[in-house]
Amino acid sequence: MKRSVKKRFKWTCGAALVVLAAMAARGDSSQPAKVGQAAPDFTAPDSFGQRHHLLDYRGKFVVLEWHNNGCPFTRKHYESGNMERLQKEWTAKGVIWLTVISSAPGKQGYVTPSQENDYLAKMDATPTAALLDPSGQLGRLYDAKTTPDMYVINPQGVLIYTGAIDNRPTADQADIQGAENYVSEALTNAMAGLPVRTPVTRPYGCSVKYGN
Amino acid sequence: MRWAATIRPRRHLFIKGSVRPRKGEGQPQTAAGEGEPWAREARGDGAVMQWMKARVREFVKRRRRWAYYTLALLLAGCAIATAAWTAPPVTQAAFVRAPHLDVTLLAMVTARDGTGQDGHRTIWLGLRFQPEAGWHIYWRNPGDSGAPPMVKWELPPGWTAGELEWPVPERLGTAPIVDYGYSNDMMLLTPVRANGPSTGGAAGQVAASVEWTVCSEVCLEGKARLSVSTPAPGSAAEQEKVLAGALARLPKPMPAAWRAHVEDTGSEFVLTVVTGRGESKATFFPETPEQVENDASQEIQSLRDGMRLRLRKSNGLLKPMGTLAGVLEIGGKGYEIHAPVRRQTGGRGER
Repeated sequence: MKRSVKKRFKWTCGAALVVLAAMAARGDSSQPAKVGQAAPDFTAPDSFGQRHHLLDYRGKFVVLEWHNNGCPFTRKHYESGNMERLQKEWTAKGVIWLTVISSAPGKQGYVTPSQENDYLAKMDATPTAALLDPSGQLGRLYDAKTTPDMYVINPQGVLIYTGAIDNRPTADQADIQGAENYVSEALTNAMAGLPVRTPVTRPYGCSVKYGN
Repeated sequence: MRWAATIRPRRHLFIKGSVRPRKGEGQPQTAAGEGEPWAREARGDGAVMQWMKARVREFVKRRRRWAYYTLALLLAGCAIATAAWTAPPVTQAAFVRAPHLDVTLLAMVTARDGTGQDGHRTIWLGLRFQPEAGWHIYWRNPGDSGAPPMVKWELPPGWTAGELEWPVPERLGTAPIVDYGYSNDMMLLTPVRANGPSTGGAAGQVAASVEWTVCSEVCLEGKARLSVSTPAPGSAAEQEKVLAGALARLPKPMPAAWRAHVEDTGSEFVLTVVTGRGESKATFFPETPEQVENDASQEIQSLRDGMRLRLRKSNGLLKPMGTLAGVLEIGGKGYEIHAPVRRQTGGRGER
């Protein structure tokens, strides 16, 4: 009797573990994006029409950057060249950098694929891809609040950083010099096998311009 | 508020006005220098003719210079006139009309804050923000987006400014983005300890460099430097009235008879406040970001002697907290709350 209970317990536990593992691997979309847990999986098209599946990037670091080209906080980092520099630096080190635009049609920052490609060329911005999310589905999945709102996912698919790009929550380009960049810090530490020093910060900037 | 409604002219208007004519001034000097045609023609003439021509040349040159000087003066005059027309000269207070937002710096010396025994005197500086209808600025914890205004004071030597004091904010927006801020006329206050008798009471020039984010659907950045001299002119009674109005909108310390505590259920903070009477309406504004989900609705449960408010914990909260701090708006008034957090025992908490 006792043994059978034990056995049943083992089975139940085992089954639960399998389910949990499966959920983690899938990045179950009902779970919110939370640091220390599996990053929710997604598939989204980029400005060239190519589809990106998060799961395909397992084994690599992935950065998600929420973007709105009309937001003064986003412009601070683009017009100063800071964001472009970060994109170049980290993609050169094998990081997948996905810029995400969740502005709904008619709202600030909404772009068509060709408008986005023109913008990328004009700014000499070289993320791995710019994902277009006019429905806001991807934004809501990650609970993206601001532009820029930054996420770092490790090669195991676990979210290791969410929040602001740096510790100067202003729209002033002069504040970039000397700021502590949380994204670079997370990537540097994680690549060195160290824990991320500041895994969560309050993202700053304009609200993401979701549709109603 | 006569003493508050004066405007400091924008300095760049003057710079633009005076630079332009000066640029033009340099050109005629080269054009009217050792002019080749003049020189060549003069060579064959007699001495008198040469002298006359030289005088004529000088006269024209001087005339031209005068013309430029006059033009420069005229332009500068126009610039001053334009500036004066849009902004009457100021002495005592400062006001800026920025896109979608008016900002005013006020200095308030009231009878109540008279010179203390140590010879120092408290004055209040107020920064009044008046957003256009449909626009808003932000609280010190702005919530899901935005940024609070930032102020740098320039005070006479020996004066010290206290912390900024913020009126009770409003919840702005709807899920998934909820912010804390102000969509109406509001005033930030700062008490300043001014040097006493040696400087003749609280006399001095005070300036504030202010930066802000003003948003509706989109956001705009703004900055201004405002200045005011103290003591501000105008009646003390009038200043007292304005100050009293602004002070009334600041949150008060929680009354000593009240009790507040928080139960951490794993997914929620349940804030219980005992006020002595049944409360049916309350809003909590967290002091620190990433503790409470801003966009989650705050469900209230009325108690016989207070209320209970359910606050969803933030996904970004990674460590247990000892105290939940913030402003609780209840019965139309704001109170500073510092509630100890207890982990719920025996519950189905996360860990």
